[in-house]
Amino acid sequence: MNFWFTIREGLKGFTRARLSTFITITSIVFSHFLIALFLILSINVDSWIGEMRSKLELEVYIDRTLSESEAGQIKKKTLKISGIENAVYISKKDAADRFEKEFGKNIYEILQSNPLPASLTITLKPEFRNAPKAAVVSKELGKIPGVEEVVYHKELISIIDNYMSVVYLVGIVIIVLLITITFILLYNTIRLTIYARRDIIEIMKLVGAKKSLIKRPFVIEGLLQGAVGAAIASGLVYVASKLIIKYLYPFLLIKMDVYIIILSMGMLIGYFSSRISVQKHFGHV
Amino acid sequence: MIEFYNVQTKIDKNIILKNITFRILKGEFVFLTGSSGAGKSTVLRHIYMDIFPEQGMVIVENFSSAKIKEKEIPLLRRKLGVVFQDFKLLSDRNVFDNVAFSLRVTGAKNKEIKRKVMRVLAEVNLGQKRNFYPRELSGGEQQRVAIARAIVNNPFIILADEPTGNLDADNTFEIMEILEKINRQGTAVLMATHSQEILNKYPHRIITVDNGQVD
Repeated sequence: MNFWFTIREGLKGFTRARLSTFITITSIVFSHFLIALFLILSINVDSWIGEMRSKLELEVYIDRTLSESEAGQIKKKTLKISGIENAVYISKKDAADRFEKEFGKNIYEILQSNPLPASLTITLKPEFRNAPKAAVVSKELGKIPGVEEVVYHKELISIIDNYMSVVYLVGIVIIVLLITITFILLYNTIRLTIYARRDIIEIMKLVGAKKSLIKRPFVIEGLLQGAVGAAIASGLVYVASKLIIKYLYPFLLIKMDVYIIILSMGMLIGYFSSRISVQKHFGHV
Repeated sequence: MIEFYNVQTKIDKNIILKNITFRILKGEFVFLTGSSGAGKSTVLRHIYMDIFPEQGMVIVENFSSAKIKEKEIPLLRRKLGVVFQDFKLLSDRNVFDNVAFSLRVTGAKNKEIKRKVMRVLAEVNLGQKRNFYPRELSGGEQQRVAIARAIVNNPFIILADEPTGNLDADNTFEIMEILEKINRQGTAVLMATHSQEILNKYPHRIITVDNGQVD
């Protein structure tokens, strides 16, 4: 009974302080839509970068004087180093074939011999595809006897790392800012609703309603405003992503998690901002 | 059942009540009179424990102003019915829901609410107007709704703060007759008024508040 009373009164709050409720829900829609866009953007950037990182390979050049079987031993040793996903052995002959494929000329015809060393092409496990970890792996590889040189795109991977940390930082700052703005708006709307409903609060107190019962509808109202705003934002994100996929960028990635995050964020912001607002302003009416 | 012992009260550093002592017995009808600002409303607020004495003590049934905990105040108020000059009805709900409101907040069941509300609306002759909104009612009718709301919880006392202050003679008479009827059924009434006419017409005990003191 009290449960339905709370829900009913919470819903009634929507029709009191109508303008500020409208403004708040609109802002929640706007901020959550932007947050969702950032999330989708970061999912896509993450996937592009992940793809780029997956192409990161370390070339391990093997001492020319070693035999094929000795080189095979080196391959076994590299696989024991943590972080290495795979190692492919490229013999001197494979290297010469590859040269011919890439440059269209047989190296024996040009140089009369094959100076190309045998090598290992190393791929890293996903969590090792960043500058500091790649450097550690490269160092470990260099320590293996018979390894002449380890080569990889050190600068490129550093640039990707730095770029990504800036992107994440900017994203987090903007999201925190949007959450703060939404929080303040909701807090104020609940404050206005409390003042707009002084009469009902006074009567509830007079007829012996418990404090928690008087406060609860306002918290429910905040929660509902957050939920409604976030739900509308989710709907807009859904439509926008369909349009982007159809007309702009067919490879857009979008995960269900985005909707779940947006909805729960809306409800959490609604709940906490109204709770704090009620706590703060209740005594003044 | 209601006792004031040497109650002294200050509001914003002004002494409103000075060393007041009196008692209201079960089922009694008592007028509280005195000029405007004499402290009548303050006396009533002490009874529903909206304010507390600076010195002395107020006892209402089993509750004492000196000992009551904040969370017990709603329980005390459920035993009282309060009526004001300005009715204090909720404009966004009809007569039935205004009266039902004080039962709903206590978690009563729908069936019980319907039965009790219809009974008290019949008692104040408003059964036919249960779907009307306050703005569609006369002042007297609105006050009858407020009285219905006050008695629906079967309080032991009705505290009425100038309930006829906004009403014409006919409506005043109607309200007084309802309060008399409620009192005859065993509910005590403490009514603040400064109307000499009412005091003359209805012969009940009178407590006069004058300059913060009673006689």
